[in-house]
Amino acid sequence: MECKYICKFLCAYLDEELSLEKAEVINEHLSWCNSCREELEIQLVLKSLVHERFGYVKAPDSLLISVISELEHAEEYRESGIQALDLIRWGTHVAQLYKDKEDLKEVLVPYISMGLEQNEMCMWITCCISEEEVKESLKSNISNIQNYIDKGQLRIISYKDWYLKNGCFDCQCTLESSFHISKQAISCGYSGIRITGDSAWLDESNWSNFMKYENQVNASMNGQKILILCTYVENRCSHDHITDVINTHKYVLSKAEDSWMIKRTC
Amino acid sequence: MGYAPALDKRKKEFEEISVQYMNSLYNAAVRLTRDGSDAQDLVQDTYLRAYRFFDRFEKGTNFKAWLFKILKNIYINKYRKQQKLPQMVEISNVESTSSLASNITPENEVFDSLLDDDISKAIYSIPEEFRLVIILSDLESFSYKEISEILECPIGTVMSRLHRGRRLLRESLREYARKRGYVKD
Repeated sequence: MECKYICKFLCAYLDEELSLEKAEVINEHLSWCNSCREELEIQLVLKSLVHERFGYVKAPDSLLISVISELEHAEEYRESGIQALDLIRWGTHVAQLYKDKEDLKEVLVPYISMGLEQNEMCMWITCCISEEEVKESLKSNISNIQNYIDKGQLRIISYKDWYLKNGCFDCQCTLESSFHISKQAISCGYSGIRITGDSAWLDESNWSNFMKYENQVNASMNGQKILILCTYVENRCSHDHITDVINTHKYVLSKAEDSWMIKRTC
Repeated sequence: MGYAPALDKRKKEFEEISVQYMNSLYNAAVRLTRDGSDAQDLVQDTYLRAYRFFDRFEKGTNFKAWLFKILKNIYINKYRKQQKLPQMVEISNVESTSSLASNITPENEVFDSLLDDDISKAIYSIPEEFRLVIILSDLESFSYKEISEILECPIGTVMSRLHRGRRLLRESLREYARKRGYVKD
């Protein structure tokens, strides 16, 4: 038997993962082949080197405490629908930086679809995308989208009717509307509410006021059955704007090399 | 009523069988993310997801392997993309270095004289798919069958990745030994 062939099985031989029959073949070969015996010895050294010298990193004691404590709140975690986010807890405030409509749909369609599947009331506040486009894109995930709209579980609202209800942006009024609709969702028998709001309408004049609103959202979301995902047009944000977005959201989703990744901020 | 006590019982049962694997999970998480804080988050995510799907765990099957499979999936979907560090050493033509027995000092002695830090760096330099199999086999002592379940690939793939992974590790260790002047080119 050729050494090259034997070498391929030395790992498994060492790990006692070969059938008796195959192990016998290797045994026989090793009984006369010095070079394969040396090879086996090296393999053994490598294995023990990993085991003994690479060693074990013990989990910090605080990890056990935090895991147990999070398990206490396990029921408060929701499927986000977004792979990079995985599970998110009620009260989580997320931002997405997007370049175009396709980016927006890539994240918001699974996010909203998952909310509907989990019996949450869902609200999509649009700006750069029309109501028809939203419905059309959601159809790829959910066939009976009109049913959700008819029964009030899914609401698609223009930014003008949500953020600019009184003609201009009113931080307090928008905040109150969010918590009002959250209460409504619970009283209608939904698990909570999942909101996404697009900020493409923002300009420099109302940026700081909107950031004030984002901060107040953080201060008042604790303990509420609300998830909020705010979307920002990446190339319209200055460096300072991006810093503001990062500072006001727990996670920021951005795209790198065709896949979405998160920045965890606090 | 009775919902809350049932929930408590489920949580207690889950904690009883899962907490013992925290060090193993954390160790693998550190080896994958190379960051203590990410590793803690990854372990926490693993426990939350495992608890969420605890009903789907088939009793009598390998719980530790099931937890590792969850950890691996979350790592791929959520954490791998965030890694800032590039792979450290590009290794090529590893399969062609068939006879590596050192000319002067036996290779095992050479490797043994390396610093722990060099050994860690050598292991981290191996592409992740091979590193993970080595961690699962040599650190966690999972069987090939268990590893194939965790990685969701055939046993033959586990075997070949381990074979190739150890070869890559050997080459990388030699690289560090060369840098330290323990072996000559």
